[in-house]
Amino acid sequence: MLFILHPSLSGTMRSAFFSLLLLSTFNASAEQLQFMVTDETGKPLSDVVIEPDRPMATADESRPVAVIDQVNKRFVPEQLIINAGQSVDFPNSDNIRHHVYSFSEAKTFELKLYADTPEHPINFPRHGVVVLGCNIHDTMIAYIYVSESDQTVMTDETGQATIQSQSAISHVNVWHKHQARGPETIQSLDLTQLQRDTSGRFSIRIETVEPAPTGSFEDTFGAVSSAD
Amino acid sequence: MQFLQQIKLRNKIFLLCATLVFLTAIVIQANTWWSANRVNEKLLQEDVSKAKAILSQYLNAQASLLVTASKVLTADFGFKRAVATSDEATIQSALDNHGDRINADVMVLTDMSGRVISSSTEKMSIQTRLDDEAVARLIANPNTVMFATLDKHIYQLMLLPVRAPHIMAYTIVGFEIEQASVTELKNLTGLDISFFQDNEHLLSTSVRLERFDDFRKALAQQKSSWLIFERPAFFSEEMALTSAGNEPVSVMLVSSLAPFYKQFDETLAKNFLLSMLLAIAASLLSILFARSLTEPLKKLGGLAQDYARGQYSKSLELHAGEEVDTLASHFNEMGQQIKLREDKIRYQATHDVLTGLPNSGTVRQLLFEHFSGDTPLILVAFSIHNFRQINDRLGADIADACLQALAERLRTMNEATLFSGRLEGAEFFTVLPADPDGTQVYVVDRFLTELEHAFKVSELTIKLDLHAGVTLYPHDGIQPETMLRRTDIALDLARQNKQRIHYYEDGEDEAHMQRLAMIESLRQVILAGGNDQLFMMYQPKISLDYQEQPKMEALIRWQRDNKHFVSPELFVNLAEEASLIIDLTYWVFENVMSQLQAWHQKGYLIGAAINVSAQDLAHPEFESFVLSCSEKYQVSPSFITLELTERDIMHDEASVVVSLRSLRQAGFSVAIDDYGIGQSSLSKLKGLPVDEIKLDKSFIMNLQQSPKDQLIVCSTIELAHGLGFLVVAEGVENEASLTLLKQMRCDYIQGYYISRPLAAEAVVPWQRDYVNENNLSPS
Repeated sequence: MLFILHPSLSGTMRSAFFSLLLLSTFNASAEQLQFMVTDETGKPLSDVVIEPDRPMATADESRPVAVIDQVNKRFVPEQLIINAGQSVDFPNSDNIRHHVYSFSEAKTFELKLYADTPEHPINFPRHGVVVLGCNIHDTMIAYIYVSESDQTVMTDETGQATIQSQSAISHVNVWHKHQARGPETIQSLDLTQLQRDTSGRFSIRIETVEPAPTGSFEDTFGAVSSAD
Repeated sequence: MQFLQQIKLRNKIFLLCATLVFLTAIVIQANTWWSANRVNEKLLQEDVSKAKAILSQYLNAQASLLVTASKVLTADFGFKRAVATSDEATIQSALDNHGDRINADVMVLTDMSGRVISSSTEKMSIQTRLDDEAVARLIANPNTVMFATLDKHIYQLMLLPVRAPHIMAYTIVGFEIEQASVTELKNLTGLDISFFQDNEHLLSTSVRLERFDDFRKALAQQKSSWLIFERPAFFSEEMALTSAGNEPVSVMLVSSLAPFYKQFDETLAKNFLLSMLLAIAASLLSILFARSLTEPLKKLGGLAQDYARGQYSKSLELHAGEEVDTLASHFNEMGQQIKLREDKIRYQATHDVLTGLPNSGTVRQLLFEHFSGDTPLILVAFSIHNFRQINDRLGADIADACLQALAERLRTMNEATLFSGRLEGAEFFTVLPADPDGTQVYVVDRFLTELEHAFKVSELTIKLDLHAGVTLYPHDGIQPETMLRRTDIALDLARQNKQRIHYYEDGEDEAHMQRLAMIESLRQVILAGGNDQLFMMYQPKISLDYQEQPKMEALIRWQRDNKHFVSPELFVNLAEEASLIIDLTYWVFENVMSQLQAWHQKGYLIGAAINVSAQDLAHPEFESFVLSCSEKYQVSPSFITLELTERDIMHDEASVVVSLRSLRQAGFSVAIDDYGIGQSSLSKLKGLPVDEIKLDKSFIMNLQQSPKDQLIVCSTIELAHGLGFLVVAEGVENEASLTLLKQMRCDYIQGYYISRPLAAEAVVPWQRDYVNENNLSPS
C-alpha cells in the first residue's frame, strides 16, 4: 500500500493520515521485527525468505492450491512460498511438453512429459526447499519454499522485510536461492545474536554465488590451441 | 685500377667475360639458393601447418566425442536421479555403460568439491591419481577439453556438471592418447609427433627419451653436413595444449629436412655444373673474340711502325669487322697522306720555292752524287748582273718572273745540263757535261749565250746580263764543298773583274781564304780596340791663300800583326764587305776625337777630316754616336769634316742626304771625296748638303802634262764655285801643279808636295812650322 503525499492535500486530511499511521505502529508494538538483508558485498539482497521459527501445530491441507505455470520455457513464478501441506499445480502453458521434477529432500517427484495440466496437483507436506527442474529444459529452474509459519516474509528490492507477530520470536529461518550454502539449505538464526542497525533493524548477511551457467555445450571445442 | 691499365687488351676482355659470367653464376646461384630456401621453408611451413591441422582435427574429433558422451551421460534423467539420490550402484553402472559406448578411458563422477564419488570400475586405478589441482582446474573450466597426464600416460579430459537441476556433481570423461593413434597421425601428417609435459617425454613416434630436454638436444645435435657447413637435420615446431595440470602439456612436430636438402643440393649442383660449363664456354668465346680484336690491332700496330720507318707504300687489308676494317682503311689513307705531305715537305726543303729548282743544299747533295767517277764536269755559277736594276725599275714581280723564266729555260734548254739549282738571290748553278775534246770554253759560251737570249716577261722583252764563274771537275777539285766554293769565288771574281766568264785558276781559292783570314784578324783587332796595330796618320790640307790654319785628313793605317802594313783601300773594302766598317769608323772617331782633344788642350786648335762610308751613314745610331763623341771629347763639330766618296753619296741618295743634312746642321762640314771619277754630274750635287768637293788625285797627279785634265779641273773648280762649294785638290806632288791650281783658284790643296801623312806626334811640330813660315796668327 503506497501513500502519495500530494502537496495539495488539505490540512485535515494530512492530520487524519498521521493519526492512522500512529495507530498502526502502536498495534505492531506487540511484535514487529524488521530485517535488512545484504549480500557479501553489502548490497541489499532481495527475494530472501525469512520465516519465524514458531511452527504451526499441524499442516493445513485446506489451504488453496498454488500454481506454478510454465510459460516460454520458464517457471512462473520462479520462487513460491507455500505452507506445509499445501498443494501446487503445474499447468503447462507452452505448446511443448515439460518434464518437471525435483530431487529435493522436502519433496521428490516427477511429472513425466506432459502437456496442459497434470492430473493431480503435487502436495508439499514437509518443511524445506524444493528445487524444481525440467528434464528437457535445463534452463528451467524454480524454487518452492515450504513454510511452517504464516508470517514468512520475503525481502523487497531494498533488502528489507518486516514480520508482524502477536507472539515473541526467538529464531528465524533464512534462505536465498543463490546462497553459498546450497539451494536446499535453510539457515536458522538466533535473533539475539543478530546485530541491529540504528533503525533497530536486524542485519543479516548472506553469502551468494553466481549461479553456474546452465545447460548448453558451447565453448566445449577449442580445447586445442596452437602453440604459436 | 692502375694494374688494369697494364693488362693486355686480350686479357682484359677475357677477364671481363670471365668476371661477368662468374658474377652471373654467383647471382643465379645465390638466387636459386634463396628461392629454394624460401620454397622449402614455405613447403615446410605448409607441411607443419597441415600436420597441425590434422592433429587439431584429430584432437577435436576426440573432444567432440567426449562432449557427446558427457552430454548424453549428464542429460540422462536416470543418471541424474542416481546422482541426486546417491544411488551408487546405478551411478557405477551408468558410468560403465557410457564409458563403454565411446570407449572412454576415464569416466569419473566427483562431488562439487572434486572428490571422486564414483568411477567406472575398470578405470578405478586412474581416478585416484587425478590430482586436486587438475580437478579444480577442470571444475573451473567445465565443458573444456584439457590435457592431463596420469602415470606417464596423457589424457584428453573434459568435465561436465550434473544438474538436477542445480549442479550436484561433475563427471570427468577422458581418452588416453595412445601410441597407436599417434603413429597413425604420423602416417597422416608425415611428421614425427612427440607429446610431453613439462620436461617429461610422454609419447613419440620416433624415439622417446625420458627427459624432453634430451630429445630436443638430440634433435638439435643432428646435423647434416654440407660442404664445409653444417645445417640442422630437423625442423620442429611446438604446440601448446590446454593443460589441466600445473605443468604445460605440449606437442612437438618434427620434420626431417633431409628430403628438402636432397632436392636443394641437387638443384645447386646442377646450377653449379651449368655455371661452370657456361663460364668455360664464355672464356673460350672471349678468348676467340679477344684474338679477333687484338690480331688486327697487332697488324695495325705493325703498319704504324712501318709508317714510322717511312715505309708508306705498305697497306693492310683486314676482314675483322666494320669498325676495324674502317680503321685499317683510315690507316692506309693516313700512310698515303703522310707520304704526300712528306714528299711535299721534302720537295720544299730541297727546292727553291720560287723557281722550283733545287736549292743550294740539294745542289751540294747532287754534286756528291755526280762526283762519283772520273767523268769530267763543268760547274757554272752565274748571276744576273742587272737583276738589281730590273728589280728596282720593273718591280719585284717582274724580277721574280724573270727568275722563273730563267729557271724554265734552264729546264728546257738545248744545251744538255746535268742539273741546275738556285743558290741565292739571282745566283744560279748548273753542271754541264764536259766536252771530251777539252774545249770547255765553247760549251760554257753556248750555254750562257742561250740563257742570254731575251725573255718575254709580261709583255716586256728583257735581256739578262750574266756573269759566270766556272770550275772543271776533277781538274779544279773533287770535293763538292770545295768545288762549290771555288765556283762561287770564280763568279765573285767575274763580277769584280766585270768579266762575262771567269774560269777558276789555281790560287784564287787561297786568295779568297786569305781575304777571309784578313777580315777575321781585322775583326779581332777592332774588337781589341786597335790593339796597337791600328793607328791614325794625318795629312795636312792647306788653303792656297795660306791664310787659314791647315786641316788634317785623318787616314787609318793597319800594321797587321805589327809587321807589314795592309793597304787601307784593301782592308776598308774588306771591312765594308764584312759589315765591320761601322765598328772601324767608331774606332776612328774615338781615336781622332781623343787626339784632337789632346791637341786642343795644348792650345793647337787643329781640325780634322774623317772618312765615312755610306754604310756608316745608314747606321741608325751613327749620328747620335758622332754627337756624343763630340761632346765626350769636347771637340766642337766645326773642327770636323766628314768625307765620303762620290760613289757612296750616290749609293743611297735619299737617306744619305737626310743623314748628312742633319749632321751638317749640327755643325759638321761635309766633303765629297774622290770627286770626278764617278758618274754624277755637278748639277746633281747642287741640292746636296755639301761644303766642299775633293777632286780625285787622278786629275791632279799629271795636271802639268795633261791639258785635258787642266780643262776638267779648271771647269770643275769654276762650276763648283758657282754652286757655292769649296774645292780641294788631292795628290799635289809638285810646285807646277800647285801653281796651276792657284791659277785655277782652287781653294785647298793636299799632297806630298805639302806633306806626307804624318804620325800624330809629328803634327804639332809641322803645324807650328807652317804657322811660323806663313806668319799665320797662332790659333
